[in-house]
Amino acid sequence: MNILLVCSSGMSTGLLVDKMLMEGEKRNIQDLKIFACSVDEIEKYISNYDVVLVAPQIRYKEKYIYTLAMSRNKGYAIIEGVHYGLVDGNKILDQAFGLMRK
Amino acid sequence: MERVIQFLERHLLPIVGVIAEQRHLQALRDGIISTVPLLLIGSTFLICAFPPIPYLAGLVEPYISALLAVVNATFGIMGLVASFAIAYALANSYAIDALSSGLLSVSAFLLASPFTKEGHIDSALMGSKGLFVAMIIGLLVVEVQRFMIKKNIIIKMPEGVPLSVGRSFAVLLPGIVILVSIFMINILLAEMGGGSIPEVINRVVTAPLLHLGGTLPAVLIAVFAIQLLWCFGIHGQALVGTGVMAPIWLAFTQQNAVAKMAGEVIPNIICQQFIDVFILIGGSGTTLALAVLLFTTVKSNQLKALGRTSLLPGIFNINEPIIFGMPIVMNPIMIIPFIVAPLLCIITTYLFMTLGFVHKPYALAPWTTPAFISGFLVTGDWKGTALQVLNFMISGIIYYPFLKIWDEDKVKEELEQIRTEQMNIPLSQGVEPLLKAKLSHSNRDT
Repeated sequence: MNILLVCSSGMSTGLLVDKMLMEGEKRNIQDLKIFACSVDEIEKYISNYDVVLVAPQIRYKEKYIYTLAMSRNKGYAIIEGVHYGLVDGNKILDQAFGLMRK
Repeated sequence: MERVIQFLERHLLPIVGVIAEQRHLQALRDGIISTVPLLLIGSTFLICAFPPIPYLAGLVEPYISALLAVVNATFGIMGLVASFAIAYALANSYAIDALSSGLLSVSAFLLASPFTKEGHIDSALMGSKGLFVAMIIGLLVVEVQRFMIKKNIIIKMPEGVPLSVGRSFAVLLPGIVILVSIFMINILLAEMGGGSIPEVINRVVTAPLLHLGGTLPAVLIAVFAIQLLWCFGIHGQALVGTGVMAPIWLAFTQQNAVAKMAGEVIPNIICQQFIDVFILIGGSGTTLALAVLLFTTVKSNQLKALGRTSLLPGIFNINEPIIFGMPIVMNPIMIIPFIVAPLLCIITTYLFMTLGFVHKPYALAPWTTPAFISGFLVTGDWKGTALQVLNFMISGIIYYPFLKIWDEDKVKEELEQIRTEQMNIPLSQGVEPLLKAKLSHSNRDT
């Protein structure tokens, strides 16, 4: 599964990438690809990913990202603030997989 | 409280969204931000040309003009680059051929900026003096182009003509209209009394904006807005910092660099570095001290865990873990120091620089440069670092009592949780068993 994380400059979501990959390894998930980009770059990357997870601090851009994700038929969600703050790879990975199943 | 928050969520968020996604504001922001890498490279050469250590300064003395050529080609053409980048960004958002819009905008910008008597491009107008000219022309060029495309006033090539040829013809008519208009305005202004487009724009738009934006109250208001937005979990720095204030702050940054280059007194206290380096130590809210306190002093398990995850990013001025993990968002206790600490740091920094205790910044450093290094880098003055240490301590003192309250709340919450988990411990036995349970709980955790 390919997950795209989006925040203002791709820095704080960058913290999350490693945590989620570590969690994926623990769960023995094959082909897990996770990438963090800035909201300005999202159009460039979105087509290569299955699920888009958005950092809570840019949820004011929700309409734009949501429309984009829907038009490309991608899973979409805003990451829970507390999970985001504690860089909780486990919970956020759950969230991504939850979107996948739909 | 809950109601206020809900009200703001419902009414503030859409407004913020509209501002953030407004096409022209976004193009201005993207266009101006695209000049920053050049400014960073220019800063490196500026620092090399004027190293803060006398011995090194002596060594580079013969090469100063060669080093400054790089500064000229970066800081010096900030306006020219912006004229391309702004039109490019706006055209992109309209799905108009962005390259031709950008090129047309550069041409229009140069036509509007009068050449010197010797027939050279006036380099003084290519930097921050041209920045607001570039902003206005860049947006207008694309709007004219879009209008003409919409009304179908363009030369269309028959099918079968290569795309690039068609594109170059499509830009012809809008290009002529734009350049002829500027040409006529030039003549008109010259007839009226010898003014030029940059002079008019700088007098009517730039001067008042810079005058307002460069005052202490303006910075206090801007940073207050940044902090307030973060309190609702919204990226205030991206919206207000880069979104609204960046042209003004970066124009001041450029003026400082140019003054340093010319060996003049550095004019502006407030500039991009003032915010990035001295106020946002550890991220919005001056949270580096809070990260250190979280790492060293807290008792609750949740905050201990937060301390471990937030210190390293904090060194690089990234603090989303703290803002969302503590959380500061919607937290009536932590919001207070989160707003007060940076505002106090603004006042100390402004005061120390006004009194001349600390040099004003002239070089630009990436906002992720760790504190205590960046203070020295951007000012070339060890007291720049001392001022960062002072701000770090001030923010620590402001945060500490609030952190204690929040930490105690969290400890209580965790104890409560253990108690409900282990219902067999009756309250009547006092707190002793609870503490034991808490101990075993934290042992389990680590």
